[in-house]
Amino acid sequence: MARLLDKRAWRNFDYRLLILVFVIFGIGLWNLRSAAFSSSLGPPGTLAWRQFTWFGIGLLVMIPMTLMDYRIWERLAWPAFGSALLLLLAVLVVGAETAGVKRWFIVSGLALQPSEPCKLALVVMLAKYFQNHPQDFGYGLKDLVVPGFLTGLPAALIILEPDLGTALLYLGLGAAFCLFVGVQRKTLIVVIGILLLALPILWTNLKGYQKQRIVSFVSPRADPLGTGYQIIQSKIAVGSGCFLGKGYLQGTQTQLKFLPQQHTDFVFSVFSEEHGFLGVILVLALFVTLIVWSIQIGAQAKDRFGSLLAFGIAMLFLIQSVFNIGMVVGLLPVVGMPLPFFSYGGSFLITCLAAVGLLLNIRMRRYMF
Amino acid sequence: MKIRGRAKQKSENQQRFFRFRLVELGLFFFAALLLFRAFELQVLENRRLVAQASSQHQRLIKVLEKRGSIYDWKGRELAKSLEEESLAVDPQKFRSPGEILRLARLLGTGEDKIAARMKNGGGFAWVLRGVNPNLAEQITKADLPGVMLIPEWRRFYPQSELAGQVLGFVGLDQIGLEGVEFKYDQFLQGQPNFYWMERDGFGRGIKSRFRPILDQQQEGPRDGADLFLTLDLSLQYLLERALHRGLLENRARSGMALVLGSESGRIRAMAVAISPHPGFEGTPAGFDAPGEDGLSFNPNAFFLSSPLQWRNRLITDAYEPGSTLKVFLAAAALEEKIVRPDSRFYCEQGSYAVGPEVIHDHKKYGTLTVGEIIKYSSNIGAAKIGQQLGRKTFYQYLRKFGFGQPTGVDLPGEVPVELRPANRWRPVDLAAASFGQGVAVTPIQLASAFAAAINGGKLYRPYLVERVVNSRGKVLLRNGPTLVRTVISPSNSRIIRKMLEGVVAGGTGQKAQVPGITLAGKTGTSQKFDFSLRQYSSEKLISSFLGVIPRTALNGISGSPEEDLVVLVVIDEPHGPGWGGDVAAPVFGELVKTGGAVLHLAGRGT
Repeated sequence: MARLLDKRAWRNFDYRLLILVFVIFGIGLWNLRSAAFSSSLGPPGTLAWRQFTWFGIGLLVMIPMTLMDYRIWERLAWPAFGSALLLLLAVLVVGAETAGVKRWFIVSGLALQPSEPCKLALVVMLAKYFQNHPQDFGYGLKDLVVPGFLTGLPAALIILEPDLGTALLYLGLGAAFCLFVGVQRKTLIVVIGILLLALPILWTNLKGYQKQRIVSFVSPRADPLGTGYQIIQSKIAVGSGCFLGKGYLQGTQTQLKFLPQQHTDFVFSVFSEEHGFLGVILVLALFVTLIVWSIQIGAQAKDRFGSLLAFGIAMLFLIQSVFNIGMVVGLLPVVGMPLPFFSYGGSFLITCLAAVGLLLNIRMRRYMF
Repeated sequence: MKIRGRAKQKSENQQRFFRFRLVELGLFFFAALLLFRAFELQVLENRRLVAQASSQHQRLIKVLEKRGSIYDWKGRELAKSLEEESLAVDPQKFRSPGEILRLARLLGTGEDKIAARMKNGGGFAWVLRGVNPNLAEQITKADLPGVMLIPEWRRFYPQSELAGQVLGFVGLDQIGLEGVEFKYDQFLQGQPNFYWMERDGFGRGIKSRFRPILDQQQEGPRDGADLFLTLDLSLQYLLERALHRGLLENRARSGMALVLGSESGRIRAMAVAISPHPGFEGTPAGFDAPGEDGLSFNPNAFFLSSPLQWRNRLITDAYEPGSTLKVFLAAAALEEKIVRPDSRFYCEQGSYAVGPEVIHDHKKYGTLTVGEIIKYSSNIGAAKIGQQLGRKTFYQYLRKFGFGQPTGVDLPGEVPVELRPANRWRPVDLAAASFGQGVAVTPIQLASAFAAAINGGKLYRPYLVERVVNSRGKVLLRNGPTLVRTVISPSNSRIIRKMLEGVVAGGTGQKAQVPGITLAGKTGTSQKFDFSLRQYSSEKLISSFLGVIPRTALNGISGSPEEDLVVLVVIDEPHGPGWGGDVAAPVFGELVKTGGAVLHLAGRGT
């Protein structure tokens, strides 16, 4: 407990990062209210209020994540990762099934998604692994077997749910870690070669709807009322927002419900339609600031574990926001990738806030040893 | 070792910074890519995407703005437009059989009928015009994709049958089809406006999001203009009531009546009644209230009626006027100084041969003055005046009085009635024309000619619309009395008038008498030509009465009336002997008795 109350740590508390996160969440919540304004889920504001409740719970989770010295996770990495894997396994068995998809536990009416906290567990796990196995001249193929399994196992379980977007995030996270810690050139070439060979096999094993998503990304007009619909509608919504946007609650494509999944994956289309290019610049700037900040925290962390941890979290934010916005503006195929602090979802929001807690933790302990 | 360790630490830190810097660069690259893409969509391509967005949720619909109202001369409402909702579907969105069945159940019709409607339109099809508010609410609640409720106008005639044939009616598309509604359609009609109708992602129309493209404030009024008629609602009611009573009491086929301002041509009341059961015997119930006896035409339900009922027979139907035409014969003869009021004619004791034909009087008369010929309506006397006047002159006077040509009344469907040219009249034709047989006239011609005969000799064009006022109160059109020509001198007109007073006082029109009022008039009884027998029918008659209500009689309440009123009553095929004096004259008398204050006001002009 002495460590919790350390005055030096408090002096270095990064309240500006906290304010930045609150600003992003504030805009996200405000936008979510509009996205769900004419939804059939209940009276206007129902969904935004629920999201706010999740935010409260997320803050409660964030407090211990900030206060407990992050190095404790070096010891807790295996138990945390292990239990996350167990949860992923359990959701395939006892999870609630909706439309052939098993992603959630329903606990007293609340839907909890184990693949969300597991993201953080994977980051912790990979950080611990690379901390414990330093390599001065880059990692070889053999060295990457363990991290490959650490990444591949949860990704495989998530593909079974099935949830392609989240699984891709895991794989991307693993790949980013490997590249970051440094891989031998020979190994890199071999891995890329194997991946290229694996692509056709992967393609044949993709679900029908997953294939269609990729086809419709390449040519959305091939099936404008089917899978291409989301891409076309999102582009129309974003583009018709023009420079200044149509105004809050004034987005015709949003309020008349032309947009698909407008409170989750396509929540940024709503923002782009109603607030235009100016709004897009603002939110992109905020996300870039958040990610750069995370990177800075990693660069300045006192130890390698903290640095890797911050890197992993930065990558979580980077991959998800770039992929989500890229999907909204039609640059990337439609895979279920939510936008941090904008998309509706309890588990997701709590995980993001827990990650921010870890960042604050690393940041305020950068001078302590 | 210590130093090397530090160096190693340092190089590792440098490496870490370098790699984080690489990550940052990667982030900036992606952020720049996203920003450029957003710029491309929202700034470079926005025009195309805005158009696409509009085409998705908006649809241009042509709607006529509100049609103008029709009022009587005192501003009492005769026709107005009410807003209501009509049901339409977008067949591209609305095609699931389950939903069609649900809609069919709500409407209480068959699915096949809805399906048939949908086949006609492409992306838009009307299903039901004029949905009642309860049903509209149920349809809204059902929330069916592709089903729209579109605000429209419905024409409503608050007075129901009153003046039905005069007003006419409008079709479902709010375009006038008959009567004043047709004649003044260009004024009444609201301008077309285009409305954006918004649709949501499920194809449901969003009513609250209708907005017109053309703004009333900026572009001038787009609502139709209002009409103010010369008609008097109260007088119309009294005239219809009197006509209905006359029709039912005589078990006649149909009847027409008209009240005209004698020195202006203003049509004060205009009534047509058709018996659904000609020759019906027994006590007709409720004949006091026009509209309840099935004799009238109700424009609110025009689709239940036929042209037989909605035709304004006063201008579309010609008939042989009979003895009422003697008025113009006498006027012509006086004007041409062929006769004087006291000129005497021998009336042959009721039987007079003209060529191969024999003319009869209804009673045997000896020598009668011109006044008495009119008073007792002697056909033989009239024939002899006609012989003295000559066919050419008589023909010219009939033309001058407006016969043989349209009056130009502002109502649609006035028939052009030809007068046979004088040089083709045989002697017997001249004789028959003298008492109104073998000559076709419309009631409106007869009434306006009669007005000229008694008002001092001036023929006015009859008219029905006093003024047209747009929705901002600007007068677009003002009709007034239009003098067509002067036909006879005022002194001769006064003489005619005196003779006509004799008709009511002691002649054929005694049944029109109202105690205390000096009325004038002329009866008429004509035989109808039976086309199946190719000869004049002895049973099918038309009884008529042309009456004058003098302004002095109207001068009872306040102010002094400007003009006399001319009344024409025509009863077609009355049951029984059917003399005009017995059938039509009492209708006139009834109107004067019940009229009182109403007639007084009608005589005051505007």
